[in-house]
Parts: sequence; structure tokens; C-alpha cells
Amino acid sequence: MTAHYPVLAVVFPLLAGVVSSLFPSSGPWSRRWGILAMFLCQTLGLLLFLQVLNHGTMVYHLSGWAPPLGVEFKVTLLGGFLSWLIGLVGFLAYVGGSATWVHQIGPRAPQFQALMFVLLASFQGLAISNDAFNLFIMLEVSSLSTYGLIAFGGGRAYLATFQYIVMGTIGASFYLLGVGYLYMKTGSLNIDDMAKILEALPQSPTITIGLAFMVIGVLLKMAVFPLHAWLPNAYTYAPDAASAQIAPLSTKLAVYLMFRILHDLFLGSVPARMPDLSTLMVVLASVGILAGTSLCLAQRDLKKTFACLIVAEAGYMLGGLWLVDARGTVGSLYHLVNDALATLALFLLVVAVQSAVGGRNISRLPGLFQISPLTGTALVLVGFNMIGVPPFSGFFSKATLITGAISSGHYEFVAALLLASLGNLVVFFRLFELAHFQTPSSGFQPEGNGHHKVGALALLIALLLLVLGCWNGPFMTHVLWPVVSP
Amino acid sequence: MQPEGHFIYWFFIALLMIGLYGAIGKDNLVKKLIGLSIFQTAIILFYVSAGFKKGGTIPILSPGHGPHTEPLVIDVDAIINPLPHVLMLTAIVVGVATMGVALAIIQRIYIEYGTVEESEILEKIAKS
Repeated sequence: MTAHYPVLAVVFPLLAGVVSSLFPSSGPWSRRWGILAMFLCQTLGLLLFLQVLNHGTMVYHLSGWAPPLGVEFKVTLLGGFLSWLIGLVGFLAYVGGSATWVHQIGPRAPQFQALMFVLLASFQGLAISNDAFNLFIMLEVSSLSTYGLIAFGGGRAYLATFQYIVMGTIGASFYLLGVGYLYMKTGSLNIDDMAKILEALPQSPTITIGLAFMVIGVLLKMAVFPLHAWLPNAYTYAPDAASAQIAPLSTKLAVYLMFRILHDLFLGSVPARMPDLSTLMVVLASVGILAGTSLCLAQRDLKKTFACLIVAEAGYMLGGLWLVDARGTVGSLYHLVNDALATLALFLLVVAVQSAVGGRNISRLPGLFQISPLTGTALVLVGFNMIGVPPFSGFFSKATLITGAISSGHYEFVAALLLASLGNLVVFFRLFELAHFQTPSSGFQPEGNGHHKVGALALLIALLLLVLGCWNGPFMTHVLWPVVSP
Repeated sequence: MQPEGHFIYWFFIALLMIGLYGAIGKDNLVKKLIGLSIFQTAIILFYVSAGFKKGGTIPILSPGHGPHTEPLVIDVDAIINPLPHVLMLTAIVVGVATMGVALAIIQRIYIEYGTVEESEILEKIAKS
């Protein structure tokens, strides 16, 4: 049984999705099944992580075909942790978003739930698959289910979805093209096998072009600044339950794919071998951080503000991965974990704020703290994390990134990180000021106490961030450093 | 440098660029989708041509079924590489799925706004 955990992590959510779509639209059983299956996914992820933590990297050969012929799932320490994180985020987002289903999803809830599970399955695949072509399939499956989930928003969501389809397909196709070039050179699709062959080959234009196509494809999926245009609208007009599910991990797993390309496929030799390209990437990341933060400052809609924040965060992680210093990579991966949890908390806060004050335009915020103290507190704590106040994990990820940037001489990246913290300070203190110190203007009365529950959940995630921050030392030494430099 | 051997790559790049222009530059959503389809097809062409060998035949063993009395000798140069072709079967399925979702979305957009020209839709959004 233990040996089959890797494949179960992918197949179980897929089957759970199929089962979900069979439920009739009315009745509570669909929801009960959903919560049970989400919890099981999370448990499976945790078991997988514990297994890897105790016994080292696990490999699983699908249908018993050994690589390089067959498809391989390889669960490294970080892959196992991500698998757990995906399950946990999926479970919490499901619980937090379920209050909005009645108004926003309606009778098509079983189909919506099925898409959620398919999304989860593809995320798991992205975290543990070790086959370059299989990763493309997982990328496309996650995109396809995301299109469906976003289109459930109706109205303006349709156009946003279409734009996402165009950009997402171009991104995945570029990645596929890059894999094709490297396949022509190596004759293999297993990442470890390709890495071994590539290492022995002399540098050639084919390899450079293959790398370039893959990187551009993943950059589109990461929504780094000039290629970000699809993201803010798509995430803003998606149903709240869907955006809480998609936003925390979709772009983060593209970051992880970038890490796999640089670290597992090219064995960390790219930044040193192509210094021009890596400088270009770090500059791009710095511009992306500043542009994303400026976009954020210009928004009046709470959800769009947070969506633009994701664009800025993608820049942090991109820059960290392309620094020559290994601390940049560790900082980037730590930021990935931190940002996945923080984004989840932010999008749950959007749910809580909407049910507490009746809208998500920031002019609605005054009086939030009086109506829903838990939501107000969670907003402050998550805001502190985004700004980078110690001992939240947001501080330690930025500190590690800055140390890496200084020791590899990229001062423009340091400047961008510091300015972005300042920008986040402005964004969040504007929200704090409205939510805590101004008296409510509209006489909106929240119905029920749903906002307390979602606010409490967001507060719980904020405390998780605090724990992650306080335990940053052990987490980095035991989970991240062994993956980056074994 | 063998110009005739590289011709297929020039063709694939040209197709790729036409598709990319269509997907990004056109205003009509259906034309964008057609561009996207050309773009994906170009990549399929690239993979398929990468598996091809001059003078190669289809990868089916000629002696037929049943036990072989003498060891089977395969001349790898005479058989094309089937793996890229098989990969493209999967990629075609993915492309069809994308196309289906995109067409459904375009239909919803048309019901919502009464047009499939992006500029007109944006105008209507700006007015509302």
C-alpha cells in the first residue's frame, strides 16, 4: 500500500471528481462527499510527505515500465511537502468557499465540484511527475479545469476566461515546443535521464532554444509582468469558491516547474553558464515586482488588488530562482510555500468581507472590524505577512531572497524587493485604516454568521504563517536545503 | 547545410508565426481561436517531422505474429521513430479539449454581448 501512495495522490482526486459529477444537484450528500474526499486527499498528501521524510525519495513506475521507457513519478522531499500543501490548501479553500456556493454556483454544484477535484489531481501530478511530457499534460489538465471553474462566474468571467484560454494555451504550447527540441537532442523524456544526457552534450543552439521556449512557456503560466494580462481579470471574475482554490497554487506550481527545469533538468548550471540570460531574468523579475505592486496600488476592488499582488509575487520567485546564489533558490521555494498559504488567506478574506459588509469595493470596508472582528484581525495579520513583518514567514522569505541577491550582486533585485515591501505597506495600511478606524457609512446588515467562520479560517491560516515563520530554520535546513544542494 | 532537409523547419516556423499572429493580433474571437489552432498544429507538425527518417517505414515488425525461429534483426535506420507520433496523439486530444472549451465560451460571450469582436465587447463593458 505504501508503495502506491504517489499514484494514489493523483488518481484518488481524479476518481473523486468522477464520483462528484454523478451526484444529483439537490441534497446535502454531494457536499458531504466533497468534504470527505478533500480531507482524504489532504491525508494522502500528508502520508506521502511523512513517508518521504522518513524513508527518502520515492519513485513509482506507472504500469511497471521502468524509465526511460515508462512514465515515472518521483516524490522528492519538496515534492512530498507540496503534495501535502496542495491537499491542505484544497481542503481549506473548499471549507472556506462552501458558503458562497448557494448564491454563486447554484444547481450545477456537482459539476463545479468535479472540476475542483480534477484541478487538484493535476496539481498533484505537477508536484510529483518526473516526465517532461507528462508535466505538459498535467499543465494542460490544470488549465482546462481552471477555465471551467472561472467560467462559472458568468458575465464578465467569460471574456476573462477566453483571454486566459489564449494565453494559457500559447504558454503550454511553448513549453511543449521546448520539450520537443530537447527530445531531439536527448531522445528521452524522463527528466533525470535527460539531465544525464544533456550534461555530457556540448552547448548547442538547439539546447539554448529548447530552454528558451520552455522558460517563456512557464513565464506565461507564472504570469510574470509583461505576460500577466490574463490573470487579474480571470481571478477577479471567477466565483469566490473557485478563485480561493485556483489562486494559491496555480502560478506557484508553474514556479515549481521553473525550478524543476533549472535544477533537475539543467542541474543548476544555467545561471552560471548563461549569465546574460540570468541577468535578463532577474531584471525582468525586478520590473515585474514593481509593476505588479503599482497595479495593486491602482485597484479599488479588494479581490483585484489581491489578484495583482499575485503578479508581483511571481516576480519575487522568478528572480530568486535565477540568482546564481543557492540562497536565492531556497528563498524562492520558501516564498512559494509562504505565498500559497498567504494567497489562500487573502482570497478567503474576500469571501468573509463580502458576506460581512456586502461588497468587495474598498469603499465598503469602513466598519469591518466592528461587524466582524475575526475577519478584521485576520486581515491585519495576513497584511503583516505580505509586508514582511517578523516573525511572519513573509519576512524570512524576503530576507533570504535579499541575502541571495546581495551575495550574487543583483542590487536592482534588492531595490525592487524593498520598494515592493513599501508598496505592500501602502496597500495594506490603506485597508487597515478603512477597516478599523472609520465608521461604517452604509447600513448593511450581514445575514447569518458565515463571515465569522470564514474569518476564523483565515485567522487560522495567518497563525500557520506565523508558525512557518517561527520554524523557518528547521524547515529550510530539513526540507529545502537537501533538495537544492544535496 | 542542407537546405532541402531544413525546409520543413522553415515551414513549421512560418506556420507557428501565422498562428501566433492570429491568436494575438486578430480582433474577432473566432479568428483568434483559428490562429490558436494553427499554432498548435504547427507544433504537432514539428514533432511528427522530428520522428521521420528519410527512407524509413512504419514501425510495424514485418515477420508478422507468432514465435520467431531465428533472432529478429531490426535495422533502426529503416524504421521511423514512433514515439513523437504517439505523443502527438495525446497533444491532439488536449488541443481538441481546449478547442471545445473555447468554442463553448465564445458561445456564452455571444449570448452575453451579442458580438464576438473583442473591441466591441470591451466597449460594451466600458459603457455598463
